[in-house]
Amino acid sequence: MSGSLVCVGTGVTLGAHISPIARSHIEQAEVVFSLMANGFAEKWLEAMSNDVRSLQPFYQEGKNRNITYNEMVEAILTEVRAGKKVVAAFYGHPGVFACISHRAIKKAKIEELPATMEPGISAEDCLYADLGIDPGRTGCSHFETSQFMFYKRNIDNSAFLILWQVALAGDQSFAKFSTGRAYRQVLVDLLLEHYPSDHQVILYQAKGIAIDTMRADKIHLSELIDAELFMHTTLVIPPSEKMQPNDKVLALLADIDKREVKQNNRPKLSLVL
Amino acid sequence: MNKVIQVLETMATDAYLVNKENMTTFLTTAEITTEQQQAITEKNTDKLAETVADLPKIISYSQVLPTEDDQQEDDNQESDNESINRLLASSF
Repeated sequence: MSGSLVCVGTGVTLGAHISPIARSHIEQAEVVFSLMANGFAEKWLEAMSNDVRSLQPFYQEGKNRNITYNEMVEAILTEVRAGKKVVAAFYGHPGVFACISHRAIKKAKIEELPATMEPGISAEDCLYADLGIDPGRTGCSHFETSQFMFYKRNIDNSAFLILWQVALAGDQSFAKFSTGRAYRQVLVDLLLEHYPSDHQVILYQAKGIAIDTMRADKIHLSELIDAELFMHTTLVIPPSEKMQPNDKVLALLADIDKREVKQNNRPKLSLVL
Repeated sequence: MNKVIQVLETMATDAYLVNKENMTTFLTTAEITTEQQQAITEKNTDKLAETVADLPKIISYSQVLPTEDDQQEDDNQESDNESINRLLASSF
């Protein structure tokens, strides 16, 4: 019998965010691989299936995470290749800031093994709800913090800028559990090219379990260097400038509007025989 | 399922328990220890964690790499620290 893979998201808050179909996949799987955000969630998942295998042991400080992720993918696919009905359960959304499920599904498809993804409620979803941000109001861009630092970006300070994994800012080894003050200073200096030093930013952490308190600490941008950051802390930078109208595009659109009005007001001709 | 995990799941899924009084009543009837009840009331996650045997220690990254590309995913490619550092250096 052919094996299969379903990557599911269990959401961010234990129990509150999992979809019925994700839960059903977990309950019906022969093997469940898990990568949860806290020990309570891992225990919770263990109770849903007889064979739950944590991917946590693959992580090691000093070990390149790219190697770790490829090893996790291989562990998952080994069971699929063996003909098992496999579920890989990830906290949050399995496809958002989550390369393992994308890699595993891509590889499975190359090998003509059935592989799909079921969404979960992500930390990004929680962030919008908890902080009352509508990304449609001014626009919003998201980056992994180190990637934001390593590459040249066009920063739009009239939109929200959200930097994930800020505690690992500037880690080129992909092997650290956190980076220090000097690395953060580089990030702050980069941001200061676009924002004032007293610009208010938010350190955000979603609730992992029901008794957790959501973190939404407002600090000045310059205070980021000494702020207490954890692996799951996200930096939210609200707009510092108003959106500037694009007069050139607006003029072009106005011309089109005028032409359309003219065309619509033209007398209708009818054929008289 | 461990009783305290069950309680956490119920708290997260039952809107009735948003009410503080309902929550207090629920906790007194839940089959958990007094210590666990206290930790939940105080919203003290660390204290609660201490009451659960074999609670796994978790490392929680966003599973994303700053220089993700197809080359890094391919098993046939070099994937040691050195090669990734070279990739990084060449991208600047």
